[in-house]
Amino acid sequence: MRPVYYYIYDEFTQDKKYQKELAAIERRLTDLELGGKISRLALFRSPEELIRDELKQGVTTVVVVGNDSTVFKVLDIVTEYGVTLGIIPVGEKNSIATALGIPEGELACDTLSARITETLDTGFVNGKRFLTRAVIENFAGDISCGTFAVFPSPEGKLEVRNLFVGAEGEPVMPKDGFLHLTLTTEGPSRSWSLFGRNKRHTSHIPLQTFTVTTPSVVNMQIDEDVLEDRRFTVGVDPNTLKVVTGRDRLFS
Amino acid sequence: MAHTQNSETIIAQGVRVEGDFNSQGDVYIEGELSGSLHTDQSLKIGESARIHAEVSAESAVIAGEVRGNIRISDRLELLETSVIYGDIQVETLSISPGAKVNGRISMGSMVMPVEESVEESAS
Repeated sequence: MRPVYYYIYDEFTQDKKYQKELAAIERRLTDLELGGKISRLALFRSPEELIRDELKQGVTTVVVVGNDSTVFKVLDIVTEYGVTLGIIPVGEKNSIATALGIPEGELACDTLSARITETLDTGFVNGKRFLTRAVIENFAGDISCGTFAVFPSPEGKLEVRNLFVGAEGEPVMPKDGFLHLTLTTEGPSRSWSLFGRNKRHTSHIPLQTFTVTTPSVVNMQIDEDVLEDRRFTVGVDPNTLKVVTGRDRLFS
Repeated sequence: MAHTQNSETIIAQGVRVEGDFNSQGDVYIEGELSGSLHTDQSLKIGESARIHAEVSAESAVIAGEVRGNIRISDRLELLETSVIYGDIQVETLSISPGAKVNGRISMGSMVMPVEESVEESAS
């Protein structure tokens, strides 16, 4: 069955500086016979309502034209309905497209046309879904993982990674059925003869579900949202996001 | 039982783990762990690590301190800074000069207590 496309343009793409780029994208989409209805996000226009209406009309692929923020805006609805997500990256902050191997602008149309789809894991914290990572900057507390608990000392940075593009060489594993807990603390090294002298210590534990507890209320950043609490229940939701990827994606 | 898989687990210096830690992938510890520690793959215990646990793994390299019995199904390497308080059961063992072992060692695929082996060879 031929896919039916629906395009969501983020509000910021209406800026004049993107007009030329958008015109080139639209020409290329027409050439590739990937046309579909277009909606533009604006204040008080809920992307969820827009997409829900179009899904009733038989849309099978929702394509966001924008950046990481645009993807976050549609994440809940595309996972809820199991429709395929496409991305045409425009503007700044496109780490998700980078991880998925999607080139910027006009070239992304060819990636969309090739239609290599992957099904990714997503994560959730206290019921809130996320795609990339969750972070507590100054974490001092404990992490309960079922049969064992983890206690970092001194306080450090807690990250829960899924589709995360970090420093070069750091793995991106959004399809392994795990979230990747990393704890980064700084302190004097007690050891340098065997594994090298380091003052930044990073722990890494792949987990499926766990609970983070802190002595007082803290902020946890989840994608671009912030949750405020002292107890965070974290888990992976495997194989929940169907997405079009490029050949240069950063995972296998 | 908490399982981890595929990618390496790292418990760095400054992190303490309490309970039964069970992994299906490689594990590298420079921090502290108490309870039990098992991995189906390889285990590295760094020089700054302090382990108070029953330890089992396919293979292991130890440079730190372990208080507890150790069962390794393949190869165990004790580096010069390692200190072990507990019995070791292993297929193949390598001990560097300076390593301290306070416990019994059983080796080979047909593992039996050290005392019985000594009696049999004397008779």
